[in-house]
Amino acid sequence: MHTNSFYIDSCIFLGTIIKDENTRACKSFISRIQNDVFIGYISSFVTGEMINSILYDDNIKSTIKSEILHVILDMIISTKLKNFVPINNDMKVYSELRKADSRISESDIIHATYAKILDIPIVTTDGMLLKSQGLKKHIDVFYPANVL
Amino acid sequence: MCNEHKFGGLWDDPERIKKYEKLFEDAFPGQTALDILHRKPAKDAHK
Repeated sequence: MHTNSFYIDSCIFLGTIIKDENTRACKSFISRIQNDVFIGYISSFVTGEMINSILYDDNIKSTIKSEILHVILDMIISTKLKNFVPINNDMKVYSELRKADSRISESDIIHATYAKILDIPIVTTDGMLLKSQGLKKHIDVFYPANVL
Repeated sequence: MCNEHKFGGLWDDPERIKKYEKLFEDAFPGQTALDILHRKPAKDAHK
């Protein structure tokens, strides 16, 4: 396992900008990526999840939508990240993890699958992932403050 | 007319971060990151 590498869930990025109980931990974690203390991995599922949640949210005015999409892109561009793309046969891990906890959504299982393929922990503020005993048998799942 | 958009260097630009925080606050009043991503946070998940 690569001890200083982490797969970063999309909620960590939004957590840096949206003020809630996780903001401080998310900001500290991202600053460790920027300072080369940690290596951060994302994938098209991380960026896609953020972009889709804004793009298809009917409650956001279209004039503001483009501004918020710009913020998402700026966050990604501004962060030193490695983009993971699975190759042939990588995804065979998916079915193993899917069976580990049926309560976890498909997109979150994809995040977990990518972390497992990379053989690195996933960092998230999502309680479903953090508390899943089934998933923890396969990968390490950390709250951002707990890897500092 | 498009507003001028900056890309890159966000984490070294506290004013831009503040501007973004306000934008999100106005667009998603009272919502968390997990709400926006349509996920349910577990209570005390980090403890």
